[in-house]
Amino acid sequence: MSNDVISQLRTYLDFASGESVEETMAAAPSAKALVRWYQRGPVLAVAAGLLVLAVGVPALLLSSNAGTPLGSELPEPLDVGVERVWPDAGFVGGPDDIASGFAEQALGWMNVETVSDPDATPDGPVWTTIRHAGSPDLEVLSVPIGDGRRVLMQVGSSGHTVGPSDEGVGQRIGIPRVPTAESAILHIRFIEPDRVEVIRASASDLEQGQVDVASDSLIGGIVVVYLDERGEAVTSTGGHFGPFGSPPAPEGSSTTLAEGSEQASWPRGSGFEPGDPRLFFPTIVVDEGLATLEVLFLDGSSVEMAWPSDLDLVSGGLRPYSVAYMMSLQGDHGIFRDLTVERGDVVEMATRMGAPNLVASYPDGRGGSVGYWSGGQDSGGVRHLSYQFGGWALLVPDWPGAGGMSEEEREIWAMHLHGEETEDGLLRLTLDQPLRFDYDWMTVYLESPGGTVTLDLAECSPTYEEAFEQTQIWCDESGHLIVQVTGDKDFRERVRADLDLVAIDPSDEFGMREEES
Amino acid sequence: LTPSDVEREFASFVEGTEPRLLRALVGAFGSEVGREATSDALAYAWEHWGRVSEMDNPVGYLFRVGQSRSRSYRRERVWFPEVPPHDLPDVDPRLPAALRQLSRMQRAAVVLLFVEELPEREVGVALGISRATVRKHAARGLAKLRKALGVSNVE
Repeated sequence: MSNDVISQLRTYLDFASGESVEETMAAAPSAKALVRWYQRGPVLAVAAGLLVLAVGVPALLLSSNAGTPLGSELPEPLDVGVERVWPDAGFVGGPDDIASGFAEQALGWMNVETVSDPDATPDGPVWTTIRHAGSPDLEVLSVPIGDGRRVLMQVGSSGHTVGPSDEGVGQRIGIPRVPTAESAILHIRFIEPDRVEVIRASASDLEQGQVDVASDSLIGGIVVVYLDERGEAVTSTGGHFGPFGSPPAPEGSSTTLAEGSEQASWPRGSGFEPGDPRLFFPTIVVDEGLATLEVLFLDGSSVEMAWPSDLDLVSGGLRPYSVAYMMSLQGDHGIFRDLTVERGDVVEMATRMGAPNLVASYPDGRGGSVGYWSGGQDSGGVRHLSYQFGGWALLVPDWPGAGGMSEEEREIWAMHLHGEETEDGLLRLTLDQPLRFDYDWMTVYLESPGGTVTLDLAECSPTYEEAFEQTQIWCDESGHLIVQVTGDKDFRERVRADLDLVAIDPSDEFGMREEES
Repeated sequence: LTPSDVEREFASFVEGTEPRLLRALVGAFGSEVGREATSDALAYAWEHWGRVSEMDNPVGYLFRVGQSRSRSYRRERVWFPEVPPHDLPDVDPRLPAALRQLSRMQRAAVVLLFVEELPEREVGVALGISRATVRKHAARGLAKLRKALGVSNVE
């Protein structure tokens, strides 16, 4: 009887609400959440404190060997990034400048000598060696991010890992061992809430090669500064994890706003500032004051858009995004992967994402191959299957250990994910069974100085509409598209009033999926 | 209301709402992401307490908030823990696998409509779909669960 099923489901969900992946938590279901709440800041700490009273859960669940919390003796947090190591806002100058800047600001090394790879293209990724008296050479990899800025993508050998803590709460960070170090300072960038925490690793932590942190928040990047017995920097490692979505706009990036607009910046949907060369710049047809453009989603679904040509909707470029999945070969869980695409060369992209070493190659079933790139020897960081489709680069992330793919599963992703650049320069992907698109995320971001327009292919109610903060969101009358506008008030209002979605043509796969569901 | 009144009001709200919200989001997104999303949704409720406290049925609204925030937790899998037979003797051990066979929309519709017993209209608003589509997803999701668990199709 259905009541039996519902009753079982209710009982089971109560149980599942208190489970962790690694082990059953003996604590109350909300314990992990409450720990996280404590780290959100004073406002939410009030709420968390009330919740502790309400449900009677002990609040302090730091693991026994957790790093020392931020104290007065610890340095100021570094500007550790997401999908980049340092600095998140970028560093003005060339490869030698950013290497010297890192040595000075992170390590306290003044007057270092820097030597950049002479064979590297100056406007591409560059390895630079930092030489400091009494310390081993330290190598850093920097890449340009536009506007005369560079960021570090890797520091030293990296090799950081992040996994669940044995304590059932928080995370365990694996760090490389450095024999001459007595302690280390970790600068850790957490994603939500966005912050950098500084903790100290003891000699015992270093011996074990791991440090526990209480937060479950996703970690974007880590810089570890190893110290000798005098407290002076011996060396450093730095790596990043991701992608997790849209990184914040670089500090100082400018956006043209109408006079009197309410705020000058917001997260860019595409993750890039308008005009970034990694975005695609479509040809817009303008006729008698009306601009039109056909946008293609990665699955081949298309939307024909029209708007008054005096409204700048996409001069900053566009970027598609989606997620694909397959069932694991053991059939026990779905392997979901971001389809991170951008214009450019996939080798440069993989290098910039912290995986500069080609470690394997898989046949794509059409006479070509798909590279598998890694962060280097013993790297615990993210790895990528890399695809090049004309001028488009696509990375499918992977990692060793839990949740990572087997050799056979990587072969399947290489063999069954294909793409082509269309005559208009857009990207269309084809997934063969057992790969499928996850239609919870079938998205195209349009960038302009005024803001981001996000198109989500999704089944929705044509009457759906809501607004919050700097965002207006609504369902198109077709019921197949959710439009989201984030930007200044004038921009939002103009887009809502003037954007006309003339024709929406969902792909066959989207149609079949709707039929199946 | 004094600040302490507001805090008491919110604590009472959480006590009543959190279990339902947790079940709904865990049902839709799996155990790990569901709990993260619940935490975020309740944090949002506190930050916007003036508005949320006025709602007749905030579970559907906060489900939508949690659903939106779940995008920040793009984990590699939708994970449901195995059923421990001693602790849950009345739950079919095939249930986690059966849940994984449903689409997210089907899971969400089944949990919100049948487990949390929200009105179809509320579920439709929460999921951004029409009432007819809510019924479709919920019915198909429940049918799949019945079939997977070998339960006859009888009310």
